Amino acid sequence: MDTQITINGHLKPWTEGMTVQDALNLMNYTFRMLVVKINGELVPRKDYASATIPAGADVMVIHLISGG
Amino acid sequence: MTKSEYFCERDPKAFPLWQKATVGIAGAGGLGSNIAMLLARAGIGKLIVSDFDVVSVSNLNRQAFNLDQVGLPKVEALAQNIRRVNPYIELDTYNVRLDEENIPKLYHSVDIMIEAFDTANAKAMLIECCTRHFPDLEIICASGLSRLWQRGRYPDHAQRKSAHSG
Repeated sequence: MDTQITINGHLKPWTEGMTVQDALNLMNYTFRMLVVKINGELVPRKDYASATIPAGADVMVIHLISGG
Repeated sequence: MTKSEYFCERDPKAFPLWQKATVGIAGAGGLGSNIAMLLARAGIGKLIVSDFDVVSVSNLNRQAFNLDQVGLPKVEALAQNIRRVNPYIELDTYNVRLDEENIPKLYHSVDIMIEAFDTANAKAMLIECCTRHFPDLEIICASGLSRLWQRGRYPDHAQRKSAHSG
């Protein structure tokens, strides 16, 4: 049974009911403009507090820096 | 000069694929204008480029525009410059501010989408919008080079600041 997830390539402990916001807090990701994908699926920003992460998931958090 | 004369000495494998490709570019600033110019040189068949801005003098240190184009809409200046290099490319340009309404309409036919916006908000909007409407579309994103001396723009700095203020 998987009790870990991968966040940007780092293995992290997983807990039942863990949300995207929990994962961001765990990683201390406070940058205000992020794109989050769980196993390749985009999570809209409004769902960070409600979207749960399944055990063993691959979570990708992209930091968007301004500049064009 | 004929089209085949113009496209001489091209990669026999890659070039036919590039000629068939349509690439969408969102933004025609430091990233977008140079990407568009280079893809046009490479021989991509069609580009779709949008930007709402006009060329200003401060753009000239990094954007693919000329001094005599200051004041022109960026997409218009870009189209002029691209056509002087490659008259055989198909170009769709839109002098609009892209949003969740017009992105799916203007970019539904692209093979690859390139996000070349300035603000982080717009970058997130484009990624979310394209992911929702075109789940299988490849999106290439980048962060640009404008006003890099403004240290607050870096994420590690923002994190340290928020950690201290928190």
